[in-house]
Amino acid sequence: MNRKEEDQANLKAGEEMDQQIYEALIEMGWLIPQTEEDVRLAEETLNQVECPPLPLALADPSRFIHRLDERIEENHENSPGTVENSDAGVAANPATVIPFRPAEQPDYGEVASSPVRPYLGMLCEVTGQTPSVIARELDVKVPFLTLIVQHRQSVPNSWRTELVERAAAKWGVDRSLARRSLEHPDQQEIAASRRAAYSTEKISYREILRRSGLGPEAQKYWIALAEAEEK
Amino acid sequence: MESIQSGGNPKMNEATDEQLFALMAQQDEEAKEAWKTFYLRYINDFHRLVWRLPGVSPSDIDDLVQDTMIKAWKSAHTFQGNKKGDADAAHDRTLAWLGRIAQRHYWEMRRRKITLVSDSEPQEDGQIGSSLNEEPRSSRLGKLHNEIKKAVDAVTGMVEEEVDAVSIQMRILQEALTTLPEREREIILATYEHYEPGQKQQRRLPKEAVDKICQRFDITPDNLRQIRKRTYEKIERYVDERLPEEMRR
Repeated sequence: MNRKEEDQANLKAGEEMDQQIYEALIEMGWLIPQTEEDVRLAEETLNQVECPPLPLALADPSRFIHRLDERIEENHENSPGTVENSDAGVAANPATVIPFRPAEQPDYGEVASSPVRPYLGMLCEVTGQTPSVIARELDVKVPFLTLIVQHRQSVPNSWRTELVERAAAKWGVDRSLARRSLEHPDQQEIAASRRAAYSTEKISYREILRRSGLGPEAQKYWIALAEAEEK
Repeated sequence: MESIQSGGNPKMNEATDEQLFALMAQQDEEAKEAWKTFYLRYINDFHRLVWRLPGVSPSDIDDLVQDTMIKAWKSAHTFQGNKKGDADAAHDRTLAWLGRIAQRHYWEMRRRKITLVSDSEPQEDGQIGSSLNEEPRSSRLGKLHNEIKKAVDAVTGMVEEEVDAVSIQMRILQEALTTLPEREREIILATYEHYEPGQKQQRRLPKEAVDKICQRFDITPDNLRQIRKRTYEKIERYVDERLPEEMRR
């Protein structure tokens, strides 16, 4: 065997070993299956292992179905430039698909061109954390963060200040950016244009709290903030 | 889990995955029903596929699963079913699709945890994750190791009944991987972040991964390359030494 043949044989052996290690890692559950073959391989091993039951937190999709709306809203509010993605690329690798393009794009008027993401989306972007981590760090619940974006007009100013301060204290988020993300979309533009950017019902801040998933003590805190502002 | 599988909209329970994705892509109220049906159909199987992932806590796994299901809703319009396949093939195809969505999220999650820890005080055992109010990672790794041993033993049991050279080699290879020290294991795992089965010459690490590993273990990229080379040699040696003589290369 000459040098070239030897190199090729070594390369081939190396590639075979890579494939074997990959399969071993899939069987061990250390890598996430990426192909149908991987799934079959993993499931064969899983049949031999005692798996833990599905955590209760994951059993009921109704518990976080609100996140579907949250994500749609965030993506509608992306600037058009960030929504670009070729269909070919998307189909080839779904993992790269972040933007969502709905079949029927509602008329969001000025909202679509605003460069500021709403509060939760902005924090996810700035910190790289998931909504549940963000909520935990801010000592609130994800539904609360979703509702204050959906019903901005009902949110007391004192709540905005509180959330601005929490984000600044926790991650050093710029206060002006945080405030704009809580007031997003631009209130002045909406008022001037009288375009119906919000089609959602008008609800009170108490109703926001009722749906927020916050405990009674936490609700009392937010009510006290709002009442202090009213005085 | 039967109780979960039988939930959801009875009419939609009859729909194929492809039909559910088509409904989900409409992003209306009916789409949400389709998503719930899809969720209940796959949540158990998908959770089973990812619950053993190393380097993250059980609550991170829950987040990963939940986020993947939300992203599936968002990416529903990109799903391509296999019209010719049977039900099992369609099921595996959908799980693999979810796996590809979860992959990127998982590695981002791991890197974030590593950054969080490296930015804070050093951990007693120099390992990641223990600053996050979770079970200490060393303990979880111990459990993981035991789980893997159980899986290996199960495979060994199969081997006794059905002597199969590939299975024996695979079992030894898994043993080799479980015995790697933390640093070597992390380097090997990172090598497979972008691995595509069937493609050639993939022993390369993305720059971002190189930077993170070098920062975490306080080594240079050259050290990393050397460690990885030695690790591959070590794995190979481990397997060769334990393979029955007639199976050695």
